[in-house]
Amino acid sequence: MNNFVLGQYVPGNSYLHKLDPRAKIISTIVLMVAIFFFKNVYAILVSLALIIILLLTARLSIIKAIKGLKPLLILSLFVFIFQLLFNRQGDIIYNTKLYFSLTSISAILLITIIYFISLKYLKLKFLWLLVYLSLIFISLKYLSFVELFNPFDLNIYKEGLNTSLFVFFRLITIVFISTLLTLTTKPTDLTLAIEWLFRPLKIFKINPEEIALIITIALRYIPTILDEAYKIMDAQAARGADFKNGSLIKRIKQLVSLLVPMFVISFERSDELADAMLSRNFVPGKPKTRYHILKWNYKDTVALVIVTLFLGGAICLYILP
Amino acid sequence: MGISLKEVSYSYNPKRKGTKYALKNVSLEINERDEMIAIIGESGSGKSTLVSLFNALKIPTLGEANVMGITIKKIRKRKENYNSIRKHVGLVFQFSDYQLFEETVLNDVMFAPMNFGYKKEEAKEIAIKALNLVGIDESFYEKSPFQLSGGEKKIVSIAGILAMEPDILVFDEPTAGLDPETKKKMIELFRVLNRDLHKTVVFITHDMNIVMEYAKRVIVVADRTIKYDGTKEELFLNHLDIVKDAHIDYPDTFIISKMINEKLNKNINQLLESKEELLEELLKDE
Ligand SMILES: Nc1ncnc2c1ncn2[C@@H]1O[C@H](COP(=O)(O)OP(=O)(O)OP(=O)(O)O)[C@@H](O)[C@H]1O
Ligand SMILES: [Mg+2]
Repeated sequence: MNNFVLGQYVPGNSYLHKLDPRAKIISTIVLMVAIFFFKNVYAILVSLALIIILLLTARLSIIKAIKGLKPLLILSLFVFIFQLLFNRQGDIIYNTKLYFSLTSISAILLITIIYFISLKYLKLKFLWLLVYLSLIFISLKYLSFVELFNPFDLNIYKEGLNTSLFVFFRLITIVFISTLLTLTTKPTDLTLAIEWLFRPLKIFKINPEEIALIITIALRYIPTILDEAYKIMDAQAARGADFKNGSLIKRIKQLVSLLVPMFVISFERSDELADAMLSRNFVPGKPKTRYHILKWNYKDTVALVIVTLFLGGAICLYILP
Repeated sequence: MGISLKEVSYSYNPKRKGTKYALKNVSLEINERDEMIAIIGESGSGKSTLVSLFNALKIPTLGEANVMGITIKKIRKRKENYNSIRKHVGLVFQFSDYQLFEETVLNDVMFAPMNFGYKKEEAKEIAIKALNLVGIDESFYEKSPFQLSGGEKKIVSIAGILAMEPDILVFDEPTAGLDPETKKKMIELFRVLNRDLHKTVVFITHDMNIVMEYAKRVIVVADRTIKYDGTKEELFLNHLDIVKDAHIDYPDTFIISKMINEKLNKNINQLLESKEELLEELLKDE
């Protein structure tokens, strides 16, 4: 629960921590745009290395950053495999036959069963998934005894490999950049900065303070709502609900029985929160005194100049042949 | 059988370095029949944490619990299935907001019996019986639990546990927020469950008059551990230091009889269970 997306902030004293959150948000956006201008994998790898250097010099833990990747790992893996298999441009750089034989299929079945059973006891699930996929590949490649179908010709093309590496690393770099922001910026500072950045919207009669308030409350309530979910699960367990066993359908039913009260309770809480705020003299849209005031420093300007130069470089690379 | 804790400690965030235990080194035994136990202690002393160990909602961080013959222990392997424990030990939460979750009152009370395999009609019957016991009438059945008043929520959450028909009933501050009459009715209901159905009833309370009148055994929780476990008489007679350290009140009868003894120079028993008994004693003394 503590690793939850936006609750990643790690208190610290590094130069990244000290930058103005506005500078950090703008830099993040600029860097992400720059990454999208890169056309080859080397530029991406260089940027990734730079980001990692930033992480290290700010004494942030790489492990935390990698943990931030977690939700996207599976996705990027599948993008990778998909590109690898179906992009057919350039020369063939690898070729093999895959056999769908009695032996290979039974081996795959066996591996799958072992995989799912062992999954419950293991911690490094992603690594295990990689092992699982490679074992499947090995069985298809080498176990040709008693063939059932014609063997499948697996070709890997140069372009396919390039693109898949490119997409894979681009995704990782983008996530790392955003992690850099969330690891070093307090959620409250983030919302203050967002409020400031939204100020131009006043022209359209949108109140940036309200937007910031909505974001603050949402951030504030994510852990509360998770907590609420655990409490309801406790309440259901205390009266005999069984979360661990049972068929898929049963579990889905359990989940629904959790979601309904979650919604009801969330609405209840929002009413209560509104009452609590109003009774302490909160008036929507009225200017209020701030706890923190953002201060722009020359370092922030320097940071912006650097990332803008980086973006300029990326655009140059893009335009030049 | 029953509940037994052996040197149990519990921490809410055991992984953090230098973690503070909400409960430290607690041991106790509770029989599965015929007990009437009050758990007392000041706010934040660990009472709620203690009772949630009773039905395996919390797993001891250190030590082990044994409930109805099933051992509850922190092991890294697969989580055990503690469902059968929950059927035997019913726990009414301190905050009924957290206990109620279904769309209507009737559905909420039916939740437990449905989980234990009763058919819908049977479950409904059991639920209605439980609601009748606590005095919730038909007009409430189709209401959403969230539209009830605080006290009504509490009563419905009690019915939700009664409908489970457990052997051991644990109530976390069942009378907080109830009007005096309903309070009396609830606690009398507990007495009936204990006396006539031989159930074990455990309740947490801050009301020493209730402790004096209804409890047979008292457990004092202070400083994150059990400081006293025994009869109420022994506690108020011989362990006044514990009473003081744990910031516990004295029962009214105790205070009044003490004042009478001092001011009127009498010698009335200070450990009378109710005001009626006190009056009787006084009249006898005249
Ligand atoms: N969810 C939680 N996370 C972390 N700490 C908790 C949590 N719940 C309780 N605690 C801590 O555990 C200790 C014991 O809490 P517990 O709820 O058991 O007290 P209690 O005796 O029931 O108090 P009360 O009379 O106010 O209900 C407290 O110091 C509290 O701060
Ligand atoms: Mg409590």
